[in-house]
This record gives sequence, structure tokens and C-alpha cells, in this order.
Amino acid sequence: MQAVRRPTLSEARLESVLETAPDGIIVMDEGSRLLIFNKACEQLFGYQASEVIGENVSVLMPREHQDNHDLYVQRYRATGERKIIGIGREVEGRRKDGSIFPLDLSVGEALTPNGRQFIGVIRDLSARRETERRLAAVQADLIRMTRVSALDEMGSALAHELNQPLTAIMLYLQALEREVQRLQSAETKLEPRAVELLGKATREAQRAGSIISRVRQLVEKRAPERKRSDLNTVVDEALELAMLGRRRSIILERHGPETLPVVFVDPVQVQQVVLNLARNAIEACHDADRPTLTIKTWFESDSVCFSVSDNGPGIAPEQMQSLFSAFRSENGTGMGIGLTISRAIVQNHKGELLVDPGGNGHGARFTVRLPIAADEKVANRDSAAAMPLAAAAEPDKT
Amino acid sequence: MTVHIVEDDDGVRDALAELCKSVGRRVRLYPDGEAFGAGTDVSPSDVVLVDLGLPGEHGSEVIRRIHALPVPPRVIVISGLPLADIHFAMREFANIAVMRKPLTSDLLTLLM
Repeated sequence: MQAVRRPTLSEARLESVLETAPDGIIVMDEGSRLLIFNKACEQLFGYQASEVIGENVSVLMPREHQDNHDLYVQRYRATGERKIIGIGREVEGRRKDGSIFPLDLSVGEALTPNGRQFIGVIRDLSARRETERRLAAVQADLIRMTRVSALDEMGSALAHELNQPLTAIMLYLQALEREVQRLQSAETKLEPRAVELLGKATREAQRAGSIISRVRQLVEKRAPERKRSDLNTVVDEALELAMLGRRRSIILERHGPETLPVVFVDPVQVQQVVLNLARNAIEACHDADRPTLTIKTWFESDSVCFSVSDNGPGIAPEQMQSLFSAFRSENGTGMGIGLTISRAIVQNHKGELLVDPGGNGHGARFTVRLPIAADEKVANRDSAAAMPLAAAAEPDKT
Repeated sequence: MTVHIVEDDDGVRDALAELCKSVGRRVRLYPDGEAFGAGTDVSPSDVVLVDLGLPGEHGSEVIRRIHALPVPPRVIVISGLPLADIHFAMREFANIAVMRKPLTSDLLTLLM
């Protein structure tokens, strides 16, 4: 037994470092027994130092790694081959309650009079992982929604295009049926087979019509959820997503006043617009020297605006023609659909989407204007939209 | 009674005309609102079929002009637009029948 003595200066220093270090610090000997387990570790793992000092370090690991750890140490001592020492890596830790969490582990080695010792510095990654997971989930949501709206857009465009000829067919058939009835009553006996076929054709046309009505109902069901929003927040959240994983390749310049008048919008839809425009811009300035994405927000008399510009080559005049057509096929990136949706969203909000194609050393700039929320006006418009059609022969409801 | 048909789609316009003729109505056809003009040829007993999504002047403009006539004739709106757009375009008009394309119900009953 060692007599209790006052700690030396260096021991006191070490003690205070261990106590105050924000990262978990452990020290173990060659036999993997824990010698030091600092305050931060107590919080990370839920063990008191007194519970684990002298124990094998494997108590801090998930069960599937416990058995192997001693082998790892033995192998290192035999071969000197470093798999983690001086490198550091992401591993998993196990708390006292059995829960597993991700951590960043850096390992150092020290030769002491008492033999080889290993020092581990542990940083909890669960918060960062959670943020990454949340961001990834939000981005996946947005991508999914963009796809859904692209489908909506295509669905309604297709429904509209098919609608016209189908309407004509049904009207012709009605007229023909009328004609047949007239002939029948005039006792000019029409071939029964012809009447039967006409009936069948009418039924099939009606079937096609009801399919189109269904597609349209599906599309119309998704009403925007508007609320009073701060455009700066909406834009910044979308930018965070757009820049995910691109901070190193793209310079982001953000300009604008700190406060803006409130807009009455569906924030998710507006974020879709920002995301679409930002992605297009990032793609456009890909090959530029110091690729830069510039986002501005501002307000003028009755609208709040934002613009997305890049320092790419701008939009070629021949591209401008078909920039907004949903079914443009020559551009595989789907920019047409994205822009069509963006414009539809903006128009739905009674705003406008303007394009400055740039060129001659300037990149393209897209500007979106949204009307400042005027609560009374908004309330009135919504009640007008909810008004049922007067005396309408509503075919969809029959 | 004449049925005035303001519709830009050739097929739909012709089919509407054929149907009206099959029940013995006279028809006058206009590919857009500009061709329909001020509606001075329309008599109060006539019916005007107006497509909302016209090229150039919007269908609601045509309806507004018709309503400005001393004795406006009956108007029936036909449209393939989404319901929300129809509501928005029709917000200032009351008691106008709206038929959505494809016309699954019988237009004739409305014309009689």
C-alpha cells in the first residue's frame, strides 16, 4: 500500500487537464486495463471513474468488438503495425445502459517506466450524426417532393393535353347518338350492330374521361399550406440543403437586410424553388474560376424578393426559348421541369419568376418576387377560392 | 337561338358545333376572344359557350364583356383548367354554369 501523499505539480496539472477537458480521455495499460477515465468520459459513458478504473477497456465497447479488442492489442504488440494509433477513426462506444453511440477516437502511445500505455481521446459524434441524419432526411424529403411535383406537373399537363381530343370525341359521339336516335324514330332501321358499337365507344370514351378526372383530382388534392413566413429564414434553410457537401467547391455569397416584411407562403414550396434555382446555378458555374453562388434578398414597395445568380456562362439565347417547357428533352438534367415547377409555385403565390440570361461574362440571374402578406386580402382571396361553383354541372361529382 | 362557341381547340370547337347542330341549333364559331369581339351580334336569347383557357385574351375577359351587354345572354363556361384556377377566374361571376373537360355529363341538357 502506498501512503497518501500530496500530488506533485505535474500530477496536479494533469488532474486539472483531465477534469476540464471537453473531450473524453482514457489511459490504459498494455493489458487493456483502464488507468484514467476523466470527467467527460463519465458523462459520455454514464460510468463513474471508480466503476471502471482497473477494468478492461472493452466494457466501453459494443459486445461484438469486446472479444476482438485484446487480439488487436496483442497483434499490435507483436507486429508494431498501426491500425488506429496516430490515425484516429470513427468507432462505436457502449454506455453503461447498453446504448451504442458513434464516437471519434484518437489513440496515442506512451512508453512509461510502468510499460507501454495507450491514451485515447474520445469525441461524441451522436449530435453531429443526428444533425447529418436530420439534414439528409429533410433533403431526401425535398427531393421526393420535387419528384412528386414533377409527376404532378407532368400528370396535369398530360391530362390537359389528352383532355382536348377526348372532349371532342365525346361530343362527336353524343352528336352521333343523337343522329342515330333521329334515324331510329324515322324508322330508317339502323344496323343494330352499329348502335351497339356506338354505345361501346361512348362507354370507353367516358371511361378514359373518368381516368383523366381522377388524375386531376389527385393533383388538385395537394393544396399548399401557407403561413406567415420570414423569407430570409426560408431561403437560408434551403441554401443549407443546397450547399450540403459543396462548401468546398462553391463560394456562397449571401446579401440582404436582416429583417424583411412577412410573406404569406408555403415555406416548403418556396424552399423547393430556392433549392431548384440554387442547384441549377451551382451546376451552371461548375467550370467557372472560383465558382460563386450569389443569393440576395430585399424588398420593394409591395413585394419581398430574392435572386439567385452564378458566375457561369449564362443561358444561351437558343436555350431561353424552351427554358420553361416541362417536356423539353434535349437537356437531360431536368432543368426544364424544375423551372416549370418553380414558376408554377411562384405564380401560385401570386408572385413572379424573372430570368436575366446573363452572358458576356455574366452568369444567369433568377429573381423571384412574392407579395408582402396583407392578411385581410389573403383571407378574402381564400374565401373566394373556397366558394362553390355556381349552378355548375360538375361532372366529377356525378 | 344561336350557340356562340369561343374555343381555341379545333377539335373541341368542331365537336361542340356538330353536337349543337344535331339538336337543331345554329352555331357561330370563334377561335379566340378577339374574334368574338364585343358580342354585339349576340342576341339575349342566344347561348355563349366560352373556354376559359383561351390564347391571348382570357376567357373571363370575354365573360366580363358579355355581362356588360344591356341584356346579357346565357353563358356556359367550359374548361380543362385545374379547379383552383377555375375558381379563381370565376370568382367575380355568379350563376354561371361551368363544365369541366372532358365533358362527362350531358351538355345537351344545359343547351335545351
